[in-house]
Amino acid sequence: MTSRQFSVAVYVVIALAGVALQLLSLGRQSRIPSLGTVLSRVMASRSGRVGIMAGWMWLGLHFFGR
Amino acid sequence: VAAPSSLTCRRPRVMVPVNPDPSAQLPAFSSLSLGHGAAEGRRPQEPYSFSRPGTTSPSPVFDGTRQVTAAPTVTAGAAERHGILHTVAATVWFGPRDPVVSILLLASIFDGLSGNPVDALLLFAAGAALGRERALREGREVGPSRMAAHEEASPRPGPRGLITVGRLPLLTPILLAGALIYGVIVGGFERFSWPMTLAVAGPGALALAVAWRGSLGPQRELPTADSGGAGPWGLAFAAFGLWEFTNLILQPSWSIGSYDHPTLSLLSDPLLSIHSGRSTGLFLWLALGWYLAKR
Repeated sequence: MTSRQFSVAVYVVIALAGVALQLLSLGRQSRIPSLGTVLSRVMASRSGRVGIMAGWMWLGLHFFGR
Repeated sequence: VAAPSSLTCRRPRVMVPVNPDPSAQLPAFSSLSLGHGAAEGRRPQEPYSFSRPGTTSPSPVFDGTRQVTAAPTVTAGAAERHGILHTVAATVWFGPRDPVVSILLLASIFDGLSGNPVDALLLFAAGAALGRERALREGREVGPSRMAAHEEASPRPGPRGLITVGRLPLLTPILLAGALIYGVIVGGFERFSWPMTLAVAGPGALALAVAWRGSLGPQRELPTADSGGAGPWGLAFAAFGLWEFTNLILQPSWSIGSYDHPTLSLLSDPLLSIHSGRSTGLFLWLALGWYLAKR
């Protein structure tokens, strides 16, 4: 396995872990909250809201802007 | 919040009434005589108020023995005087107390080092605004406003903002159609060009301003969440951030990508190098922003 393949594999594993957490959160007895719930909790304060939106803005500028 | 006694020990004590309002003294001293805590040196809850460094309030400070000094005056609340230097100083001083401010400031530094001035500027502006607000909050009188500050930091339904989506049922489809048109038009701009940068920075800055005011979604009960249950999500995001940062520092330089250690943006290059890929990416980015604005 090359370094590049390993790097990509780690990204894939993290993404799959996120999908698995979201699926686990759907269970009625699950202690794991959904991503939407986590975001709602974080964004309940101004600090968290602005932080999350700044992260979203950064994504756009990082991938498209200079 | 510093203990009142630690605030008063540096200043000469003067004897003044515990409560300067004569009409309120009787109940205040009555409560002392009834042993509500102040006579034993404990801090009574009302009607005394405490001043924080940085306030210019003349409110007396209770030190537990009914001897009161003038409120200490330090410059931490000076950000209220609206100077840029004061704002920067307040951000640097109060920033580390708020992890979001610290993250935004660190991200702006690394973005600046990577040659992304617009990202860096906007992230710094968001961090500085939050740091300044924190400085103002900490500089205010503690007491009733302390409760307000606590409420601000506590999870609760966010301050509702400019418009409520529930009252405008057609807003979401209209905005999605607008996002589609935006994606098609702006996707035609060259990646990393100034027109593309301005076209992305505009909605980004607007969304930040709206986020400052509050959520666009309808008022709703905050879902109860087990704080321990959110741990796996925190780990997943931390793992992603660390892996992205690891690949970033393994690049030949901050601005030159590595084939062997690609960042996510480098991996997305083949998709975003074509018009349809950029249009799709921009549409998804805007849709994600709309979803977040309504949380």
